[in-house]
Amino acid sequence: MTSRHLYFKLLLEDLKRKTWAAALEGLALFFALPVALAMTLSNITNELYGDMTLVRGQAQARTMLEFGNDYPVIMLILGIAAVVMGISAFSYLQNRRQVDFYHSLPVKRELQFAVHVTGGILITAAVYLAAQVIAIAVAAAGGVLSREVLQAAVKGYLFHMLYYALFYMVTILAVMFTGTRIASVLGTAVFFGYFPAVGGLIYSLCQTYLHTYCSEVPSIWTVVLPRISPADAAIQALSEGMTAARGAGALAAIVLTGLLSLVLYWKRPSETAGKTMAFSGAAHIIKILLVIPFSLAGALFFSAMNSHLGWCVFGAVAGAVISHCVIEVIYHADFKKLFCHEKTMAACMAVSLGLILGFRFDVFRYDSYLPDPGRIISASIDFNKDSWVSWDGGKLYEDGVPRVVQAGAVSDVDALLKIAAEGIRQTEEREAGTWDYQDSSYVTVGYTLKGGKRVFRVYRMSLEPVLAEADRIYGEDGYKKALYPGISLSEEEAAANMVYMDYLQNVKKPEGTQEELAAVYRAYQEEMAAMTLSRQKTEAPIGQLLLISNENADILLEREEWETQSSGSRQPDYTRFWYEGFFYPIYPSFTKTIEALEGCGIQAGDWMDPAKIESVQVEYSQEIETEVHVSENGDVYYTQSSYAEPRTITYTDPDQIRKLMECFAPYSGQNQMLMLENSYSVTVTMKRQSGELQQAVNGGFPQGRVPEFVISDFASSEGSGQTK
Amino acid sequence: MIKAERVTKRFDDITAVDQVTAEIKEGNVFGLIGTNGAGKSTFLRMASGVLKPDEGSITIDGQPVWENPQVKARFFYISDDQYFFPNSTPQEMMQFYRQLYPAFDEKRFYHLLESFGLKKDRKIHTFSKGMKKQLSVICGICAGTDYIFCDETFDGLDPVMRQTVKSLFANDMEERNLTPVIASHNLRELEDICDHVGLLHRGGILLSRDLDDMKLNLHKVQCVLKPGMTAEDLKGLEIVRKDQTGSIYTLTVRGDQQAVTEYMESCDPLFYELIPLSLEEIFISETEVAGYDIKALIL
Repeated sequence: MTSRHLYFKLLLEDLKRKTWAAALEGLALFFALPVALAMTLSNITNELYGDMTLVRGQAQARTMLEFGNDYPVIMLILGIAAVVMGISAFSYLQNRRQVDFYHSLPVKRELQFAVHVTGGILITAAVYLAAQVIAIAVAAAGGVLSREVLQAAVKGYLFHMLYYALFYMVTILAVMFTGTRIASVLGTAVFFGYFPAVGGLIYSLCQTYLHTYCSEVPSIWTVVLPRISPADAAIQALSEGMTAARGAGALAAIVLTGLLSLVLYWKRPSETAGKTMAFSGAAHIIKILLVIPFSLAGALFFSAMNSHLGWCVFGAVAGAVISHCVIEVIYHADFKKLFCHEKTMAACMAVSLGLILGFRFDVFRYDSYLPDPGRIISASIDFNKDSWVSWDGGKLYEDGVPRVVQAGAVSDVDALLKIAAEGIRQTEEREAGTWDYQDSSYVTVGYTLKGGKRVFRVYRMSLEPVLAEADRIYGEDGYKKALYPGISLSEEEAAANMVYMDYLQNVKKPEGTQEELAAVYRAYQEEMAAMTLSRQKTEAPIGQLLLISNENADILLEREEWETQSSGSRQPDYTRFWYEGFFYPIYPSFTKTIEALEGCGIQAGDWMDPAKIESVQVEYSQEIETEVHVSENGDVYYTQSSYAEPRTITYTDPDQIRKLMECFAPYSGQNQMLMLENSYSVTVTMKRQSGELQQAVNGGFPQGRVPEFVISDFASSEGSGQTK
Repeated sequence: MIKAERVTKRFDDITAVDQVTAEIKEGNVFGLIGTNGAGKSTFLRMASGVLKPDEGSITIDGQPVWENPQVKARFFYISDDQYFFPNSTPQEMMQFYRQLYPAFDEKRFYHLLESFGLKKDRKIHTFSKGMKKQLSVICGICAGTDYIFCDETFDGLDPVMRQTVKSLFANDMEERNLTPVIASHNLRELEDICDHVGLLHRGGILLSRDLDDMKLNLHKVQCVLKPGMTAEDLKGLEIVRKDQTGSIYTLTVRGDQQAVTEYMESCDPLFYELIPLSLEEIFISETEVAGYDIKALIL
């Protein structure tokens, strides 16, 4: 008998024995496809959708028949089916009687393998095809069948089957390694989740113990490891859409796991039926690969509960011991073998303790890393003070790092290294509990080293001690242009799109010739280039200019057009541009810009004119000093900081309003160097113009600049709601 | 001919079969005797290609058994606990085996089923242990293979069925030169069917002999000697074992039957007769010579 004939005959016999699986799958898919579609279509009635009934019905049919995130039920059913079929296809390997039976038959192992593998795929393929065809018939009966629906159904069938096959082959690979059903299930879980879990674990370790770890930078454990999972592959394909690369990758993985399974099937000793692991060598390696991560996870868990080193060590030891013992019990199916291979357990424990302590005490000198200046090709820094700014329509970050850092635009590398060194010093102070600054921000530093290696660090630090160095970098022309795309536009573009907006969100287009508008832009470029971080600490913006390229303006206006139509307004809503970060702040010291704007009919900051203000309401909440509380049993200590019930005073006296407005800083987010007093919040209410709604601006007082009379008023008043 | 050469199989730190060398000639019934754990099943599983020997080789007519479908098609293996598909019937099992064994005799299968009183469409899981064994043997016999490997197959069969199976084997040996290889822990079970016996103990083969050779060379002599004469005086006999009840000696002696008879005649005993030895007695004698207490091993 030729192998081919025998293959088909054996396959037929195999299929006969899998009718139970076909019945279960058929039942699930019947309800999930034709029945669900019929119910959905019956809900789409003319009364509800009118002219859109057909379109809606077709869209629903497409959604349910295609491969996509909108209807993941099919993938879920097929995923479960793949695991069940994969385990049952080769379950005979786990039973001595069946192994004796199958392996004494005059059939080559390759043929046995092929029969059992294809049986599991063909059953699902046939059942799913039947369900899909019935669902198409339902769509046709509902009058929503179209070419698009049919195409979606065909693609959905193929893509779902592709990922079914991937899940199925990975499950079979797990079965090949194991000798009992429970071990196969656990093995499948490991193959589906091990690499993403390890990736997450390493990420957590870095985040927990590396104080300068730039968590958003792509790395092997955040990008590669989570992808080594069939479940992740399917989720990615479902949520982001199927691509040729994804399809090819899934196919390659199917072939690879299939070949590997065949080799293991061939090499697998028959006598391992009933043993937990089929290959004793692999069992040892798998145990080590599991115990170390469990130990690290234990350390992390207890560290999260209590930061004391002892609990961290306890977690590592407990994780190693428990996981090792559980694995040994599973391996030997004997509780008495709990502490079998105690040397391996000790070695795993030592490795994980070494790793965790290495991370905790920064043995690898990660946090204190400063590159040799001679090895730096380029470097850059983000002070995290300009998150309002837009980068090409909102892409502020690239590969998890601020684009200004990716740009590597800093030429004064010495200044950058001094800031980094200060960041390291402050990190150490923070760890030692001696850090004492009023403000801090996350400063990201990036280096490109010789050889192309890129290194990133994030320091939570106060810029105060290195403000001079920060100013030097901030003052660099290249750096500032990299930071603010709005000051690198062509004059024509800037002039064409320029719009002024105050902090009441009143928008006005400067009126003037092209040259006058270009002059405004040149003045702004010059004054923005000369702006320093030190000066930003003392000034609050008084207005803002829209500086946007034609391309981005078109994109936003296109989006705006739709929004404008739906709202019934013909004017573009420029607050959208503000949210997108295309408005640049105008500071009081930008005298040339302000003067040039005056020439174009714009009085920058005129909204702060006391004559236009009806009242200024100041709200004060006294900060209650940090307290140490002791719980009733005397064991628990904690600190708490809070504010007293707020009190308000409303000022209407023009002189007081003038003095208040001299100190007032609107909430804008465009100057994050300016520190405001936490205890005060200020609301400036404008005088009502005829036919207009009353407008108001919220803000505060810069630190140390609260008017004396305000302080004394609140010191003398006890109640709330006073008017002065 | 099945030839096992220095075959060894280990399971972790246990050596189940240790350097076993044996030959199983065609047309003979080869009995594989041994206690539980002696390595009989392991040997048969290696012979049937289920297990791969760690050392040595098992061949059938010079062809290795391992992963060789052509060779595996020449035997049918009945394990000590034969597997049947879940919810299957004898007919369905026959249909499966028919695909794999080209010489499967379907007509005879149905005939034997009827003879054994087994229904072709009854679910096998409703069968008793003995009925399952009968079905296994029927499948094995009808497969039309040159060899049939039976692991404890007679265990669980009633005496009538046992005889029936034995006669089936005898018939096929006669008609198509079938070679049954039967593993059992019970020596008495194989006594009247085996031509050649291999005794396995602790993974090693203690002895492997033709039963006829053993029977021709070993004799039980029951005698009453002349007064004043003892068994020690019978210098011309190779006495393997000696028992005495009063003046009656029961001697197990090795040697040619005629030579033993002539020697006994020459000693002029008051009474003597040569009694045929049972397989059990032959084994007791042979293994005691080798220094083993056979009763402790297989009886």
